[in-house]
Amino acid sequence: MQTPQFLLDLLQLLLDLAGPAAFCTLAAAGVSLRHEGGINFHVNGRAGKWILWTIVLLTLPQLLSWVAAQGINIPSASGSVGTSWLASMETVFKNFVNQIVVAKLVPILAAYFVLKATLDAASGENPLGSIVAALFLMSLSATMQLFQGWNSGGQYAMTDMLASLWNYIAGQILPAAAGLACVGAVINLVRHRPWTRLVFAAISFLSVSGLLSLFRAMAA
Amino acid sequence: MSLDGAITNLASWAGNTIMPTMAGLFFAGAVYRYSKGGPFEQLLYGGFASLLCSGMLRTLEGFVQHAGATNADAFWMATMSLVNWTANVILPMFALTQLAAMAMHMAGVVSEIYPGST
Repeated sequence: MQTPQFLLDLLQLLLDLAGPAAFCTLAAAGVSLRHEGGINFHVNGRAGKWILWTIVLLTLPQLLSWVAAQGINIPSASGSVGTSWLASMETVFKNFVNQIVVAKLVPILAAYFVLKATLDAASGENPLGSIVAALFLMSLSATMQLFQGWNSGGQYAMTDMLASLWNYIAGQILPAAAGLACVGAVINLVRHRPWTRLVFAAISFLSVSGLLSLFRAMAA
Repeated sequence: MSLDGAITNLASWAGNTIMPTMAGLFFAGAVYRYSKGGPFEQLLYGGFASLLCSGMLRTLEGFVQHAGATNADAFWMATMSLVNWTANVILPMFALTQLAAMAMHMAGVVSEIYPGST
C-alpha cells in the first residue's frame, strides 16, 4: 500500500526539525549543567539527558537506518516537505530557533550566568560553575558543529558520537580543567583550605584515559 | 569559539594573568603579617605558587607523560613521580632553607630585626 503523501511530508518535517530541536536541547543542557553545579554532572541528571537527546536528534536518520536493517519497514522520507502549510511550519520553527533561540536567547542566558558568577563570588560560593555554564552557552554553535562532525553516518552513529564526546572531554576539556585545578590548589593553600586533593585531581584529569585503561585491565 | 578553547582561555587567564597579579597581594599580605609578628609563611608560599601556576601544570603534565597519558599505569607513575619530586627536590630545598634560618638565628640576625623583638 502506498504511504500517503501527507504522512511522508510529516515524516520529512520531523526529520528536518531534528537539527533545530537539537540546538534547543543543547541549550537546555547548558542550563541544566549549572543547575547540577556547573563543574560536575549528576548521574542520570538532566544535563546528561539533554545531551543524550541532542545526540539522538542529530543521529535520528542513522538510528532509523539501524531499525530498518532489523527488517522493520520504514517509509523513506521524500527529501522535502511538499505540503505548503507544513513547509511554512518548518520554516517558522527553523527561523525561531536560528533568529531567537541561537542568536538572542542563548547569549542573554550566558550573560545572566556571568552575572550569577559575580553574585556567587560575592556570596562566598565558587563562581566557576556559573562561568563554565556561561562558556558552554556562548560556544553552543561551535559545539553543535563539533557534534555534527562526529556523526559517522553509520548505523551506530549515536554510540560513535557518545564515544567521540568522551574522547573530547577526556582529551580536550579535562587537560584545561587541570590548569584550573592548579590555580584552585594555590588559592586553597593561601586560604588554609584542603589543596592536595586538587593536585591529585589535576593528575587524574591529565590521566583519565590511562585510568580507563587501568580499570579495563582490572575488569578483564 | 569552541568550548575547549574557551575553558583553555579561562585557565590561561586565571593562571597567567590573575594569579601573578594576586601574587603581589599575597606578598603584600605576607609583609603586613610579618610586621605584626604573625605567621606569614602561608601567604609567602602562596605568592610564589601564584607565580608558578603554569609551571606546576607543566610539572604535573610531565609526571603523567612518564608512562604515557593513555597507559594504564599513568596515574600510578604520575603519583610516584610526585612523591619522588617531593622527597628528592622539595624536601632538600626545604632543608636548605631551615639550615639558612638556623644560621641566621645563631647569628642573632632574625632576633634583632624581628618585629617586637627586644
